[in-house]
Amino acid sequence: MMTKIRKKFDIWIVFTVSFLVLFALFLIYPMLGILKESVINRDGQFTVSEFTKFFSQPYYSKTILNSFKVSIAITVVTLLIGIPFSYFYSFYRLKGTKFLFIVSILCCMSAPFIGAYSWILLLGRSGVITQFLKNSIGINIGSIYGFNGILLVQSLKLFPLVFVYMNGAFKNIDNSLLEASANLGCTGIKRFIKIILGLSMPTILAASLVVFMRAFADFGTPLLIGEGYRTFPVEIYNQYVGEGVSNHSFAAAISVIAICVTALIFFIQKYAVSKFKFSINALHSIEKKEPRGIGGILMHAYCYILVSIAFLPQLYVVYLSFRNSKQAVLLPGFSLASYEAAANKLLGRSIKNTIVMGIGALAIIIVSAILIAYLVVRRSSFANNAIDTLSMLPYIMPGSVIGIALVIAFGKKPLALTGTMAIMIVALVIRRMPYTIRSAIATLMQIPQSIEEAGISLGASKLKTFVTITVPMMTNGIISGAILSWVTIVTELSSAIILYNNRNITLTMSAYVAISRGNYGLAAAFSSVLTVLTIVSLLIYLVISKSEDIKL
Amino acid sequence: MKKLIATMLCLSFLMFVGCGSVSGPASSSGGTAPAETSEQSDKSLSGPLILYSSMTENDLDNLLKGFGELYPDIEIEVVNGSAGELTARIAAEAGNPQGDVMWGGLNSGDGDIYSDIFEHWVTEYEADLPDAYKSPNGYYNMDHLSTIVFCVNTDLEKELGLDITGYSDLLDPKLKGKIVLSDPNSSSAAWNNLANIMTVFGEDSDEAWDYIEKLLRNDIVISTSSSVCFKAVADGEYVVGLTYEDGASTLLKAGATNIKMVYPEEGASGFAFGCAIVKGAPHMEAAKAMVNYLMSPEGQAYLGNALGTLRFTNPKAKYVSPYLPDDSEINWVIRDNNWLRNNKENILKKWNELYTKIRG
Amino acid sequence: MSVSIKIVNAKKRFGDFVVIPDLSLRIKEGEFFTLLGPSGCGKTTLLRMIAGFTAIEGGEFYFNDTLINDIDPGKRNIGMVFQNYAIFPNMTVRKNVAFGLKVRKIASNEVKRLTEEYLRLVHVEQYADRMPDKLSGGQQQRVALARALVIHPDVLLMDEPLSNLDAKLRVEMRKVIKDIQRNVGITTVYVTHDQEEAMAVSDRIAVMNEGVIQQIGTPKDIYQRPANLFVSTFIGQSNVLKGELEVKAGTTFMRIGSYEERIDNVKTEYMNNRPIIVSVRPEEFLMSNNKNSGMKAVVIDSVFLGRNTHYFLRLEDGTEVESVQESTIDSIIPNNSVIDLAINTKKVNLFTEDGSANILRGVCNDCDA
Repeated sequence: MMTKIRKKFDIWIVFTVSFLVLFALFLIYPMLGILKESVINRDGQFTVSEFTKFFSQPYYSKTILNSFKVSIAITVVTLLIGIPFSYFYSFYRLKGTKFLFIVSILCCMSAPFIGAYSWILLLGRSGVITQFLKNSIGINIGSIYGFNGILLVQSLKLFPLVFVYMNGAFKNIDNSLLEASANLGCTGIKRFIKIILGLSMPTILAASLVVFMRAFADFGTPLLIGEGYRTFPVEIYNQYVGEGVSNHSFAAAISVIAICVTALIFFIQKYAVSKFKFSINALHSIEKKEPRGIGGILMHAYCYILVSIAFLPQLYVVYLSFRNSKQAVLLPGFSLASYEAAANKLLGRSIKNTIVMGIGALAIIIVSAILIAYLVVRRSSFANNAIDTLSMLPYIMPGSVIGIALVIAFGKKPLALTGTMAIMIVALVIRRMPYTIRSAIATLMQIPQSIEEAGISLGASKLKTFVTITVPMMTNGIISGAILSWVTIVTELSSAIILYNNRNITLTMSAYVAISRGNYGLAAAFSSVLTVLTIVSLLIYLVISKSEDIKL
Repeated sequence: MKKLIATMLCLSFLMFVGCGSVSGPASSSGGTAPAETSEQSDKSLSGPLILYSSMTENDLDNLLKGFGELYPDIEIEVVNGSAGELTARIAAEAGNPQGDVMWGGLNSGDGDIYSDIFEHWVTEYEADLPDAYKSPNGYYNMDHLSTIVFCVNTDLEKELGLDITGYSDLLDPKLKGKIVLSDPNSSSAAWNNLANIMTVFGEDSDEAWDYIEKLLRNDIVISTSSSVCFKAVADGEYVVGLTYEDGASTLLKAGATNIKMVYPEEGASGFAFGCAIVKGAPHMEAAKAMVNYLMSPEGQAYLGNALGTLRFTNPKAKYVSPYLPDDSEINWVIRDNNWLRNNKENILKKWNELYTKIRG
Repeated sequence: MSVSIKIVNAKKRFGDFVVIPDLSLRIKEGEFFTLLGPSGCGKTTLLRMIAGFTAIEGGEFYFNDTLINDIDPGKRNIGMVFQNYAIFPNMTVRKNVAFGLKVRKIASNEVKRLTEEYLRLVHVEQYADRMPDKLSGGQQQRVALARALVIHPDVLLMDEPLSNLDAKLRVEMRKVIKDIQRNVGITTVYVTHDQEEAMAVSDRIAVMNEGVIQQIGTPKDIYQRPANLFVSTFIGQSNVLKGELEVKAGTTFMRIGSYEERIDNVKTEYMNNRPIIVSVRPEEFLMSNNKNSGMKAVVIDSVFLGRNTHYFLRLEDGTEVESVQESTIDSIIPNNSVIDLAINTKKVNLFTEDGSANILRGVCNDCDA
């Protein structure tokens, strides 16, 4: 005899419905808006002329090629400089490893344009170093703009990704594998290449793809230092700004293309990573060797020089902010003139906005991520799996595209949100939510279901069990993810540049505006405050998480 | 517990709507009689005024000072950007306007493309303006002129052994990669320069495009920012920047000794530039006061004297510009503004094609 | 004040796979009842259906006379102890134990009193303010037990609670559990795959295989009179031999090869000539040098384990068997010796050829339900 299963009221169903509604409103509706805008022309007719325009005019279609070229170059270079760095770090007992690690991470997480802007000041045509080299040694180093500049700046910024990934891989190599190979006569460089790199191949692949995606989607560096070398993300922005006010067809078309390209790369990445997954678990970890002699000195030199060069831009910017300046002309001597100027230019409001919007976005992201993780892991159903899939959508939407989509979707009444803090928060949440959700899901999966069943068996409701027991257990994992998200939120540029105005301006945007007006002292002041904020956040994170294994 | 979570979700959602409405159109600033004529300045006008502008620091600082003497209670906030960025922003905010006035970047070559985003309102001073500077479309108030100019770094010029006086000098191979122009697609200053080339060499003529092609082949750099075209020249990044009077002369005013302004000997001209009120501006009274100030003889005289770098349109305004050369020193050419208006899109398209063809 | 449990025609499937086709059983009030079986036999599924964590797809479950099918797990008044203890890691031992009481909104001085009492009952009072990660496995298990019992549930459910502990601790803990259960007198349903553990703690055991109960009985019943071949080989060790049942002039004999013994307790309905399976536990073999008193067997190997000596022998037909004898002071029987192997007919068990039924009298399968 079958017993009927009665459906009872379940708060989780309310959450499922709420999230579906929110996603529909803030993700699907803008995406459809972009899609519609790209194929409906001014007169309301369906046309693919914008797409043909893009592909038929090399002026535009070349930008994709340019982005690919420079991203591949960046990936290769970061591997070339990052792998030896990681090798020395993992296999030898270097002095000051903590310092090396922290500074590497700081380089990687700096605001997107600080590197470019600083290197222009140092190595531009009239840069400090350029002048020095020209005058003292007579060397002309050529232009830092264009392809070379992007390559230099981004390689120095992204090699820590390779570094962290490879550290993880090297840590997992069982020492007995190395001893066995030595036993069989394979040592030194040969062993490094054949055995060590061979074992780490999956990680190398994973790291390359992450670096590639980051480089491809980068907006800030090519914007400032690209000069004639036009890349795809910047082109999206240029078209949006340049094409006139009543329709965004072309920008929308490029956005659709951008989504397709990014989606393609994303799926290739997923596929490649899954194909190459095999687990090695080190029973005996590598024993670090003492670096000796010339080799030892060279090793230390390599690591410290690399890290110093990479961190130089941030230091230079801070130095610059204390230089005397008047009317945007730098003068000798030191003063707080730049900071005073910044205070007049909405420094206070920038800081306030950055923090308020950042915390607001972060709070929404954390709460949503926890709830969605629960729905996906513990209450698997068609609707909840749909939520899971939808939440991944932002992975394939470049920042500028999100900005444009939100403008198109929320530019008109009754949902006119443009120009407000709300829309910036929406953009920040959209950009960062997928990462936090994935991290929350991974954390929740590690919590055995029996813990919740224990709570339920003792009489607590499902919700009470979740809030008093499960959520506290997830806290550690969530917090480390949250802090990394915070840093990314605070340095957000590509969607902010479309959505900002004086009311919701952030530190990053204030700095960018100052840079684009050529007001370097002012820019330095804003950038320094931003850098300090980033560094403090990261240090807090490193103290809390205590681990050297972070998911960048 | 349930209530707590539910409330949190509701609050999150309310925050959106709340933020939206809190920063939505504020009530119009308190004010009594609108200041329509130059004699009355209503000092009781107060509240914020959001100004979108692509003008230089020098221009804006002085505007705020001058305007502030008449209206001390109005707090002005400036949002900087290029003409393209600002109009895009105004359009994006059309459902919920945030800005009040746009100053600079709007020129007589624009045509009607921005008709939807500005208030169709002009000041009483229209009657005083010469025909060439009257509002071309019913919503631009043309307050100043911007003539194109080369900003030349004299130190580097001497090093290269050159004497730059006009367009033909720009084709010198020694200047390869050392000339900068901003992007005509989004920068009004660059469009201004392109328009001058069209005027000097013949509108859409083979000579004009031939010259442009040669310029491109001489590796002229296209920058994303128009202020680079004078600032970076002073910094020594480039030898020549194709820019506008106001930018270059501001540097001279700030004390730069290594640059000079060169009006091309083949011919120089400019656009009239103006200001306009954003459609549905949240602080309409203050906006009108601002535009009136910019068009009034008193306002233009004050600015003319304070800046010394800008020419204005109201013939009743009397001022001296120590940093600008006398009219007589320049080889003026007359622009066909109608033609430029109607062909801007085509010209830009051709420019883009040429650029890609040569630059690859 | 505990309850009896009645399960009628329970059914459970996961997708196309039917885990429990049709199961009925009764558990007495205050009884320590064990579900025993190999992995995948459905014992944990059944336990979770009683708990309410796994949906009931068919059949009725009763606590006393109350149908509990539709009652939430939190409202069934059960106490559950999990295999991995499931102690809340973010609360002290004391707070863990107090959790269920707090949920029931018991007055705080009462909470304090009860918590103290049960902490003492399981002997973890000295760890009361420690965090769980500072406790050993055995200590955590005891905390789990206290937490489950303090709320005075009607039924205590335990899902392989000892399988994560090391051998010595397992033996120690099962005594603790048994003592406490007897002390408190609560109906307990216990799941394990370890038959020695089951026999040590249970009042009655239900042996399960593939979702079907094979036998319900006391440890003694199950060990000595297994209801079918599965039970006989799952519990303890058995040597399985093929034989014949022969009825000659009203007397029944069991014959293996040329070895014959008289069997007096065969059930009437089975008393005819038929092939049978003879299940002999190692201790039921009698080894001697008396010629013609048993089967001929050759000693292949022997292991001296102190109290007992295990012999591995090969019969004439090649079958290998194991025999366990109390060690004698004489030397161990050397390999390759030929000895006579007889069977203790009082203890031996005989099954039908397909192994599905024990043909002897005295088999108790749920006989006192």
